[in-house]
Amino acid sequence: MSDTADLTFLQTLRRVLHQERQIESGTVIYNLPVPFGFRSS
Amino acid sequence: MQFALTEDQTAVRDMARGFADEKIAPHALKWDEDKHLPLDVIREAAALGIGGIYIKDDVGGSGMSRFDAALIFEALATGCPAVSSFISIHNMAAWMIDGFGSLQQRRKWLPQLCTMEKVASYCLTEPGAGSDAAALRTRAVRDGDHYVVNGQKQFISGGGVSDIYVTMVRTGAEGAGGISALVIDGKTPGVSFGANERKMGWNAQPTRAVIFENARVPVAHRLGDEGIGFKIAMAGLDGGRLNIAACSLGGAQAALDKSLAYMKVRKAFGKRLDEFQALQFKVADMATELEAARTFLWRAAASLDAKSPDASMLCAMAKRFATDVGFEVANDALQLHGGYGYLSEYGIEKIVRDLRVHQILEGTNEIMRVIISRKLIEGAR
Repeated sequence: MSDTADLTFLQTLRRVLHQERQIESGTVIYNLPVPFGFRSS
Repeated sequence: MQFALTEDQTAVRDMARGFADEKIAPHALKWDEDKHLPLDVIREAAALGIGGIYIKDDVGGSGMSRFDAALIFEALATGCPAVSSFISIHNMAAWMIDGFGSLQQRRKWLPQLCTMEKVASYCLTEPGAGSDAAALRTRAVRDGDHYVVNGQKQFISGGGVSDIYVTMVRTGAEGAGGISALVIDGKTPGVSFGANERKMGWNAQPTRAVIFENARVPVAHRLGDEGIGFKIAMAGLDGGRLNIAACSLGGAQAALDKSLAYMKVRKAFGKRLDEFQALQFKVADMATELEAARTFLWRAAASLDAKSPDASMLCAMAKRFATDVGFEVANDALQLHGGYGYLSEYGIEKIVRDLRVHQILEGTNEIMRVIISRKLIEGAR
């Protein structure tokens, strides 16, 4: 499951965004597998 | 200690709420009326990671916390408590495999459970063993590298639809220490199902008896050692109780939101309903009760995530409190709607019907009091 394209929304959130936030202080770009329901970026 | 959700938690909750608003809520009344389990929609939710919320990610789970799960199930339940609860029970059963299964067992079942290509049910209750679950009589007798299972499970959510049944059976002596947990494929010869029960609520998911008649189940399908089944069952229920409590909050919140919208447009005696102080105070109390229950649920979920010694007691407290509050708020919402609340098209009476059973299942609220008082009295000795 190293390819983020295969990750679900929740896996993406947990595995990718957490790490990215620790590395980058800039804007996090959300690349989510579904189009709806995301209002928090 | 902080009470605000993090950015991630807010994203999780909003994702689930968005799914509920778009994919569940518009169809919930029809599913209830038709007694239709929307597996296609449920699998769409699983594609977001909701099929294995707190399953470890090496087998396709989302690896999130019980706290996250509470946020998700409350949000989904704003669309339909019955659908949200169905997914919650699947998560609970899958977690038992994740938490107590071997690596081989986890790899065998969990990837398909996380995608919900396969669905799991939990089988503890029997016709003669409900609250007194340790008195269960379904027996599994060892025969070589199989168990031969005979008995009946009652009120099984997903019965006849689910693929996998995490089933508590008696492999030893009477009492809790004689119980083991088996993962039983629904297609096993000797496994059959009763009729879909006619219920007050939770109509968007089937409830059936699961019957075992000389069903041969590989010993390799046992979770953990013989005799720890009751421990597995109770551990699973700690989280299951949080999930059901969250489903109550979601349903009740939807009922409150509907009430506020209705009060804004409905007039009586020349005024809108929301201009009557008695009704203003009523919704103030409903919102206060819900917020108290939600805050407490989060505390219990955090305690389970932290594996606190008092987690089981807090989960029982939160389940008892949130499901009682949820039902009362939904019932008050029905009253605020007057005669219209009693009509199915407003969606309020469905919420009342759905939430009523939350006071009964995953351990009745009387059993919650047993768990709480036992812990209190043990601590005082």
